[in-house]
Order: sequence, then structure tokens, then C-alpha cells
Amino acid sequence: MAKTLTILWRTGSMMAMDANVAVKLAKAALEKGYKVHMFGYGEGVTVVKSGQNPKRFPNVGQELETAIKEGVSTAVCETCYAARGFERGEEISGAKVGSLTNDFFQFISESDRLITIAR
Amino acid sequence: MPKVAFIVLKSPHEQNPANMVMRLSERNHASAILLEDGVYQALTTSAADSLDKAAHEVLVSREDLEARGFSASDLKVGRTGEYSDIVELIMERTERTVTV
Repeated sequence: MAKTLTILWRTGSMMAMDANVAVKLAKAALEKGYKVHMFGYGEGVTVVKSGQNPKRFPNVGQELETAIKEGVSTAVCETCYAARGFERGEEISGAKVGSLTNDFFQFISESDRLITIAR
Repeated sequence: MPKVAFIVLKSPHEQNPANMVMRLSERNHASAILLEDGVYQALTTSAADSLDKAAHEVLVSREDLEARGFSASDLKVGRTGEYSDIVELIMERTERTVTV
């Protein structure tokens, strides 16, 4: 049975390259045959907002959406999401607006390793 | 003592990760992974020396290093690796991961 990696990220899509690094690690792990979960918390929830248009910068929302299509299961904290004025339905395809107590704890319980990417 | 991978994202101007690494682990059980501005830790002599004393292995993201205009020949400590090498270190060669 393949080992599982969970990546917790807490940095927003336009704050630094943290979210990009998190997605790159997720894709690399997936390519090596691991199961991968990602959970966005705090400012990190901004990464799953659909329709991001960062012009000359990498579009991490699109990159995450691709990773989700390739098999990375992704959820973000609903409280953090609502606190920033986002509503359900605004998230990229495949991302779940979930919770720490359900989704993150489930991810951890299934995981062999946990990485935190945060400022 | 478990083998620990320490992820470093910040430059020496923002953070000295060696202190934290030494507090939480022993050199022969500690590996450092340098990502983003963390790669500057391996480019600055004093920071690289500190990290070398704290961790037996320093793995520097090639992609993040080259994005900043440097190459493997500029490193004062450690070696470059791909994201796949970083994942392999985390999943197979260490037991815990700490972001400092």
C-alpha cells in the first residue's frame, strides 16, 4: 500500500511562493506513487479561489486545480474561507471547503508524513 | 532518536535555523531541506557553516537555487536536488518533518 503525505499550507496565493512549493511537492509525491492530501488554513485558503489572474506570476490556483485532477485530494478550512468573504461555489474544481476537525484530522490519521509550509 | 527533516524557507537575514535544528535533533539524525529563500542559507559562508554543524545532510532545491541566479557550484554546503529527491528524503529517509 502506498504511503500517504499530507501537506498543510498557511500562506496566501500572492504572499510568497509557499503555495507554489506546496503544489510542486504534492505533484512530485504523486509522481513517485504516494497518496497526497493538501489542507489550506488561514491565509492559505485564498489559493483555492477560482478565477485568479496574477498576470506575470505563476497561477497557483490553476496549478493546484491540475494537481487535484491528477489525484491530490484538497480541502480548506471553512471558517477561514468564510472569514475572507468567500462563499461555497467560488472554489476551484475539486477543492473541498471543509474543516480542521473533519478533513484535516482525517488526512492526518491516514498519513505517514505531514509537512507544514508556512511563513 | 528519530531522523528528522527540517524544512527551511527563509534566508539567513530572516532566520538562523541551525539553533532550532540543534535543539531538536542531533547532527547525525538531522537533514535540512532548503527551499525558496532558504537556499541562501547554503550560499552564505557563516550560515552554511552553522547548518553544516547542525545537520549531516543539506539538500538544496535546484529549481529554487537557479531561480535566484545561482548554481550548485555556488553552494558552501550541501548538494542540489529535485523536488522528487526532497519527497524521497521526507517519505523514505526520515521519520518526521519540522518546518523551522
